[in-house]
Amino acid sequence: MAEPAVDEPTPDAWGPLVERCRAGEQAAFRELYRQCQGQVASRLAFLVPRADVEDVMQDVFVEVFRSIRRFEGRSSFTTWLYRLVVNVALKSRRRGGKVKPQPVAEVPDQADPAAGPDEAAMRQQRLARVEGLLDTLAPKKRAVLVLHDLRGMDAARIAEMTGTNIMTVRTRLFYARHEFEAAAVADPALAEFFQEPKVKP
Amino acid sequence: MSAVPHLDPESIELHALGQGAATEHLSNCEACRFAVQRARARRQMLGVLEERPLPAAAFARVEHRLFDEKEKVRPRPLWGWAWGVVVAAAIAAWGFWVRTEPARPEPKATAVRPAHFNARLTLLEGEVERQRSGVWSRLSPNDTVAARDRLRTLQGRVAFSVGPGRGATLGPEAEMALEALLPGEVRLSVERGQVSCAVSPLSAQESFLVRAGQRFVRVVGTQFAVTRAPGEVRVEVEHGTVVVSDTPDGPGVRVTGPGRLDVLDTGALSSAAPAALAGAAAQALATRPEWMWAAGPRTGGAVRLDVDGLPGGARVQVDSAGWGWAPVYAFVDPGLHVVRARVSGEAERVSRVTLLSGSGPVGVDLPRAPALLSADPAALAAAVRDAAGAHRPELTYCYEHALKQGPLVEGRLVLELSVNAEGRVASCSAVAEGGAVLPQGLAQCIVRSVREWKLPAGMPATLELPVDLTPRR
Repeated sequence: MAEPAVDEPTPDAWGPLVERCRAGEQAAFRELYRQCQGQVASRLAFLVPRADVEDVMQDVFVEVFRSIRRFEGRSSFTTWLYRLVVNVALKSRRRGGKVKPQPVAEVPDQADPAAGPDEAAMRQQRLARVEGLLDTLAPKKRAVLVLHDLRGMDAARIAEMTGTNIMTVRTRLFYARHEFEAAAVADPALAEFFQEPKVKP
Repeated sequence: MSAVPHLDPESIELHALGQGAATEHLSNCEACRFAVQRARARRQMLGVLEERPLPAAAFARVEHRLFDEKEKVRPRPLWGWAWGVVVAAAIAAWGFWVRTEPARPEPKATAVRPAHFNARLTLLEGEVERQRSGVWSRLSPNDTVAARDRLRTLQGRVAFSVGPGRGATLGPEAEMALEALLPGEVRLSVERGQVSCAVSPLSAQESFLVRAGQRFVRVVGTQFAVTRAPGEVRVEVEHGTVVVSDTPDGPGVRVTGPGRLDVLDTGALSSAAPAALAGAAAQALATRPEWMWAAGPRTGGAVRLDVDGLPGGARVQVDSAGWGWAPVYAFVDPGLHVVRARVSGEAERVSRVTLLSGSGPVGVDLPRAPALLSADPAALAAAVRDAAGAHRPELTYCYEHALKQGPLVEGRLVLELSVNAEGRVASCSAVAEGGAVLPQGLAQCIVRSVREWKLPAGMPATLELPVDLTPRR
């Protein structure tokens, strides 16, 4: 999955609005919220459980309004915002307990591309199972896995965003992948992804 | 950080290798191959994730909480000492509670409903459709069959396995539903046409039930077929015993193989009496190819044999499992298999395939037989008549010899012969038409004679020659 589109990545476009926020103008905060809400929600996707996105988004904006005075424009506003999103997401998840996956009562059949509504139901179930697997990962590992393998961000960038070094990111990535795969293989609804491909000679 | 020395830890790609070298390396290095397969699977799985936008109401709620509530939301304080005090107090309270409260019983584990399993296809032949969630779609060889699916065949058959030595074959122009595929409990329902089942012996806790309208056929461990026609049900038992009843577990009529029971769809069962089958009828029942497909492969290492790419209307035979309509996808044991195909206007195509255990689906190459020269049908018919006339004494001998073994040898034998350009009979096979049961030796004797026929050269053809076998009155 590609990194979510950024509304206006150029610092200049955000400059005046950010300046008004730094000056403490209440209307500017509301405008900033309205302009960034979709972007923040999109970037929070999969970093935190879907049920928590709304609350964490609120925490992100509270943190934005608290910290915007310290924003000096050395990076673009969107980069600064993304970094803040990741860090708030990490803190938010850290407060919650580890989520255990629910047992599958009934193993669904393999997907059939021609099945139509059945396929849609299957896709929804898989989506829920994969999201459930992400919830079982520790927040730091989850963040690295999502940012690297899902968002396509390289380890150096992740290290910069999360304030760690690249080797730490790689270590977390290794263990995150390992745990994610182990959990997936143990899940009957997802084990088919790891079956040996059959090749017709 | 990676457990595999040759792989880039981030991308799980072979670094410092070109495409060709990477492919070669992967074929030799099991660790890398495993890691790359895992990475691909992980990517596929993460690819399932789709962003679902938050509803507009959620944005509005957050905006309201941020800007409109009287008491503005403040970030939660992150003072370490405050959290420390709270945590310490919580630990102390918990310790006190543990000492004073009696032990509570462990919550009971929630009962998990047993999971339906998927049936595995063992044969897919011709046109077969599956209904799932109310939608009919054509069944493909990669599909599985699940509980609550319905299957219907047009010109084709489908067989599936529900366990070692257990399964069912749905005959042509038939329809069935798979009501339950639970460990220890299989329930099928025949809507029309014939379902042939093979069921290895069941334990006391297991059940295999076939419903045909108002009737239930309960299995002990047997091979049997249930045919549902409008208003009636026929149960044929090749061996073993089944109980035909009006309820899934009620008393009923026992049918022991080889035997048959014909009952009306409705009405009292008590008047129905099973008929024992013997001789030719029992032999015909025993040699039905459907049993083989229903029982499934004998070994666990079944290989899929794909016979496709043939023109429409082609008939295919895998080993001696009966002729079916192309395409055919058959799950067979490893070893040598003979596949034949008959295409209109061509000589029979034959291919011998040796399958190795553990190999993937194997496509059978059935090259087109040499093109036939255009033979004058009238001249060809006359030539065949002449040849048959010339060999009539041999044919008569074969038949009279068979009559000595049993006086009721009567019916039509259809010879399928292929004549090459030299006028020799290249191949010949005999099939009893309309289910007539003829002694095995009779067909072999006639085929031996036909193979000696000599027709005029230059008229290669594949033709069917019916032979009526009727004793002199």
